[in-house]
Amino acid sequence: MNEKKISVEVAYTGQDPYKDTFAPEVPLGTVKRKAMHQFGLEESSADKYILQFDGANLDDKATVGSLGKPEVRLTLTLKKPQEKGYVG
Amino acid sequence: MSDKLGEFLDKHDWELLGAIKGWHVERDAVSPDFVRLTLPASDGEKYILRCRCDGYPEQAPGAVFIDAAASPNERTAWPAGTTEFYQVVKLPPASFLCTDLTREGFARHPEWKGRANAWNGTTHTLMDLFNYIHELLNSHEYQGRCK
Repeated sequence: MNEKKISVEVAYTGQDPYKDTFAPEVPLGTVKRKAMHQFGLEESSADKYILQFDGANLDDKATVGSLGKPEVRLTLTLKKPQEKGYVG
Repeated sequence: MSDKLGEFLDKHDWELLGAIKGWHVERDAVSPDFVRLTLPASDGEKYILRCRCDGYPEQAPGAVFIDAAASPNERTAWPAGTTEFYQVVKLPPASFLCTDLTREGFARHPEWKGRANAWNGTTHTLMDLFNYIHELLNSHEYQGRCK
């Protein structure tokens, strides 16, 4: 069966974008890992990266096909921890 | 008059984001400083976050969960969770979200102003708050609708 692949481009500040094609069922976490490899980035307990579409955070478990487009432009960004109050 | 909130809302494809994230975003027709985000939690429950956006984007938005009658004072409008969850989510009668992305958070923690990731009108948008609340409702700290 011929499966139509989806063109994905991932932008990251100050670098040439990562570009590849993926089958619709590929998890976005796979795309993220490959893009991070090209950008020379690694996750750590302190630094978590996320893919965004139109500014909205994407779940690594979601698939490329769930975005519903034949061509997808994503942004890779460093997740920012927010301050929290106290309990009580 | 500049309508930065309108510019933000016009900039995004809410229909597509609705399909991807399950979000429904609407600006109040009568009180245009208010925006409501309906979003799903990990258990399929849907919550309504009402954002007060006067002074946007310079001033951080106010944010509360409301019920279908637009009341933030009913516990069933709010999500429940772990102790860590309640560092942010303050149930009725307090009814606010204690984070550095809301004006209620800054009112109680003025020391947060100017910190690296705190709300800054030049770098933050309502999308940052939407993302934060979505992650909170889909985290391991979330434990269902409050009773």
